[in-house]
Amino acid sequence: MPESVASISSTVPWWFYVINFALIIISWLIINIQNNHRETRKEVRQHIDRIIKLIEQFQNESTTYHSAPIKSSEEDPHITQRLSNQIQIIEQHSTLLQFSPTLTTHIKDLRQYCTRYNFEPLMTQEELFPPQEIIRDIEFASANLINELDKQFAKKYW
Amino acid sequence: MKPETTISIAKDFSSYPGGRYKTHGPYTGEGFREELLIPALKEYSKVIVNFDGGRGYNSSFLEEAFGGLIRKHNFTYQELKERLIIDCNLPSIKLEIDQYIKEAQEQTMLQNA
Repeated sequence: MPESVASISSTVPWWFYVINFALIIISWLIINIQNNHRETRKEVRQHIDRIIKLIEQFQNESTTYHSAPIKSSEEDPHITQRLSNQIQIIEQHSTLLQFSPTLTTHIKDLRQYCTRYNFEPLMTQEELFPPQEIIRDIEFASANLINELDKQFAKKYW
Repeated sequence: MKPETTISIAKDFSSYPGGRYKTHGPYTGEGFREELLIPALKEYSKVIVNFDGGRGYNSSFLEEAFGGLIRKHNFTYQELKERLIIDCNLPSIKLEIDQYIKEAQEQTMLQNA
């Protein structure tokens, strides 16, 4: 072996190699964690976007239902069940996010504003609440729920 | 009184409950309360109401079924808190039922005052 190489290898201490190896492992771990975090953030954002689409679809259908001068449930008895089911699906998807419980209150409000009043078939004019108020409340609750989803996402991932 | 019973809304009543009064359909809040809830509360000291399998619950059903326990059958909020257990994996439904029972209690207290 040439004298210069032999002299270099004999002067490098053993702990130099250990530290090098440890630094490589630590760097790999940091990059891996950051990658995973980025991927999770992307998937959660996609899931939230799906939920927002469901909320908008629900808002459109419930607004149509409450705007009809003759209650739509007379013509389509399943519409009230469909609307109730949509809220349930929105909540099931939202629960997967494991966000703060304030989301629960907004989901409750959305269900209430749509399905508490004027939600029975064959109601008389006297029994009906002003539909414009109900529609306004549904829009308000939908916007609040969407805002809350965005806010909690930003809090957790930014 | 017997100790405990469980009522499954989907299995014992309907997977598609809806409506407030019996005049609104076959599976309404009033119907559920009078046919299942009240008899169970008379016979058992604890009644668990399970919501699994239901295809959506609307607020008028929930309000009449549970708020009506106080308005029409003279239960109190405290009594229902001890004896009625809501078994539901959707937290907004638990929250809503609690709200209706509290509201009914407050309305009843105002009327009696």
